[in-house]
Amino acid sequence: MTFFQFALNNVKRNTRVYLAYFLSSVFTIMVFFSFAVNLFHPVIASRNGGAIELIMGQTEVAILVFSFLFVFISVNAFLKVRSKEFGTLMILGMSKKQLRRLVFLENMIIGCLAIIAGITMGLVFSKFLLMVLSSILSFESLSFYFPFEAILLTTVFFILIFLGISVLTPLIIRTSNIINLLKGTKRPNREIKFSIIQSFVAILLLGIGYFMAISPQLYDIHPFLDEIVLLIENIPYAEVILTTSVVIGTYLFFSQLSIFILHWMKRNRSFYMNKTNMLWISDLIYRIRDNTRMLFLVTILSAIAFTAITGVYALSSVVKDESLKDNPFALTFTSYSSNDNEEQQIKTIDEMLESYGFKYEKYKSEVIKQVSKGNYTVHIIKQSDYNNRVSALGLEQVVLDEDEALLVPVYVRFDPRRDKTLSQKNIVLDEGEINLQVVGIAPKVIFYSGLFRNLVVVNDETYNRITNIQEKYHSYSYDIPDWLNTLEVTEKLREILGVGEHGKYFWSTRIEGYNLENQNKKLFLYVGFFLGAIFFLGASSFLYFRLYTDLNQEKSKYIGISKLGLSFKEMKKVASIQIAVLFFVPYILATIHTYFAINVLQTVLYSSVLNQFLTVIGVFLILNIIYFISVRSRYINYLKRFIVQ
Amino acid sequence: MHGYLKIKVSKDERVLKLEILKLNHISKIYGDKVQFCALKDINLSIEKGEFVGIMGPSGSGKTTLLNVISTIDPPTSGEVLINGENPYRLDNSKLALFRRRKLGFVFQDFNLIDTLTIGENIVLPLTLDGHKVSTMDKKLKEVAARLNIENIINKRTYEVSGGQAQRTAIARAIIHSPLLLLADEPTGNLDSKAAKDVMELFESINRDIGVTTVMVTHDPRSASYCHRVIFIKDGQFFNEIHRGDSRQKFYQQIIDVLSLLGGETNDVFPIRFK
Repeated sequence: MTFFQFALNNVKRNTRVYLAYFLSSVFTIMVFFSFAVNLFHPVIASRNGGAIELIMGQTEVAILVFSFLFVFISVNAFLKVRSKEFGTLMILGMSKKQLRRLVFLENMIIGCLAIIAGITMGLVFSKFLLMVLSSILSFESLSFYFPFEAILLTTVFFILIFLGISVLTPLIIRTSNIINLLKGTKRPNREIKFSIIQSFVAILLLGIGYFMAISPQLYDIHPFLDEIVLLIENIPYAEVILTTSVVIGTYLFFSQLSIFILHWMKRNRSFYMNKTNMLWISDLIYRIRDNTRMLFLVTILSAIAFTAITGVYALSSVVKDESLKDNPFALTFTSYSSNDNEEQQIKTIDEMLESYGFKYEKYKSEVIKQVSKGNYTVHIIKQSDYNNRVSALGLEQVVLDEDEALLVPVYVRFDPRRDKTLSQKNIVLDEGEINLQVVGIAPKVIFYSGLFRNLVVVNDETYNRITNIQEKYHSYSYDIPDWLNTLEVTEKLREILGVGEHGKYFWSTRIEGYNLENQNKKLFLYVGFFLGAIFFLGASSFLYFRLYTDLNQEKSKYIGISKLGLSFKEMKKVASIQIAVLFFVPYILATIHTYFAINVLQTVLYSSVLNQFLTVIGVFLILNIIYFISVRSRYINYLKRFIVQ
Repeated sequence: MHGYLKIKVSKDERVLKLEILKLNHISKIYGDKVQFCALKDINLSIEKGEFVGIMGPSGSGKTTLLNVISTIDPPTSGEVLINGENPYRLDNSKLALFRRRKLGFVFQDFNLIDTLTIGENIVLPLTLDGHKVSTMDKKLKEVAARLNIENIINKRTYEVSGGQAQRTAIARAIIHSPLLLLADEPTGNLDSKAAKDVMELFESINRDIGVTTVMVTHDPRSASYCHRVIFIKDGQFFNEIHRGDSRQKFYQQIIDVLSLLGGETNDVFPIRFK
């Protein structure tokens, strides 16, 4: 047996330990590689589609960072379990240099195999992903090509990661004290301490984080609450504070609060002393303390995965809703008064729509732009034009007196209570000649999001009296029921009309915005799904390692208690409760985190994403249950062989 | 009771025996604030070919003493000389080399590497030393034959019995012909039959190859295979007895000293043989 064979045997015959780690690595490399194949695809590379490259490039970086952490933590976990083995080797005369070489060789063997397997599977998989991508980007079809650059990129980066870890980790083994190494991972029966103050801080930090996340929704319940909400809104770096307090709170939850809760259960003697409760509670205290960092990591990783997937899923499924709200009309053409070709251009649009067989309704409005001496810009629309326009949108008609005005929001997500322009009570026009009282706010955008800031509806007579006119626009809005199919006709019209002409005219369509959003969000969904999958798989792998590495200790413990008369059934129950806690507490906590994170997302979206959240959480719950059941049965079957029955 | 062991000199004083291990005034203190003295001024000399047992009650410092000899636990004061060389003066890589070539170890719980076969475990010291595969094969064959474990060479560690595992560990400890064989409770995890086999093996290896052996044990029956047994108590030398012609008699002597030592009753077999 040469030294290399020794390292090879260590890997080859330890598949039970390394399997989860290896598979997670292979999957991560496969996704990284497949994305690289997408990124380097001749068609995409030549289009230089900024957003695509940016999104996918950043995803690649995220995968690399995650991989580094994943490999680092996994390898450390493995090394910790092997301390007795290393102690033996050292006492047999292995030098530090040889130990480093052994760990290095083992890592590199697994790493290289994972890279080869990942790329091979990626080659098969990337054909499928190219198909997905071409459908997202509405490209004809992205042909398969031999991804030389992607192979090179993946190999180089992952070799670097495995190399870096291989160099780094042996430094962590404390080779100086062979006696401690030989004693191995035996856990001294120390008393587990916890701090009530820190447990309280855990609740406090989680509370602060959650409250900050939902604070916008709490507005307008109570004036005192409103002040707090506004205060929070004005905190600089609120997101950073929110995230930090939740992260620290999570850590303290596992390191202090969970122990505190278990201690509290212990104090309740009639519960604690009841049958097997004593066994699992007392043991769980040790297991949670031993696995604090792992549980913390699994929770945070799961929360990121859930949030990412819910986020991208929600974004992609509400695109249509959002476009409808952003663009109440399928097409809006706005002309300046200096535009001589206005009529000709409208005719072109009409004819083009007709030639494509589209049915449409056209709404024409006149809008005056007035700039006061104080440089304050107001747009004014008359009541009859407004009523005509909103008839298409299903809004209530308004009747205004001569000194009354109605405000119209410029953005979909407006908040009249906090939007300063919408909260004004009086409107002054023509430098004080016309004084209007605000009687209300229109419930919706009536042109499209962003057009005509500070829009005011006034009575027709008042409108005609206005003298200070900076500009008079004619805006034509088309309501086209079959708007989803207007992409082709829009492209034709762009060929003729272009994007507009400065100071003459400009126009906007719903379909273009929808299409762009749709592509971006599907792309997000695509990468977010894989990122989430990688994170979740990684997190589950960590759990698996820990359970596996604890198994030997557990074995001797259960053998001992089974001799005292613990039945197999009871052993099963005790083990199941413990594994379930380790599996589902991080899941539940991650779900709560996600719920509040989604609330932050909710503030920038128009539609509710609760359904998407529940779907994602549900799918992960099922995955988690499957994983739990399979791990539990392996675990119990293993213990079954040893205990006295 | 202050211990100083006389260097055992052969009856024929003109033949100077080779001293393999010498301990001069070894002390070991643990802890910073609360200090605990594990070894107090231990002196010991062991000659080539000797088979020495170290006994003492739990907590007497016998394992600490073996660790000090094993070059893995430096003494607080005093000097360890193995074949005239102080291993604690060596730098780390030389010390590793020293252990690899000059020492052999046998542990209570065998400490075999689970990912290797029995044969691979045995050749491990040669692998670490970068020997040729042909040399390894040759030596493995020799040592396996001597220990009667040829038939399990290709098995994995979990497929063999405790006695076989300990034989494997002994084979691993002697395959590189070490200067000094160190054993820490080698029979502690074995039933009496396997323990007897293992001790007979130690005896025959010591006799046939002449490897100097130091063994820590709390089992008087195992200790009775030694040439000489040293007793320590509370980190200090207590007594030493030499074996005469009869192992049975030696066993009785050991029991006598142990009962004098006190310590935990379960360490000592209470019935006396005459």
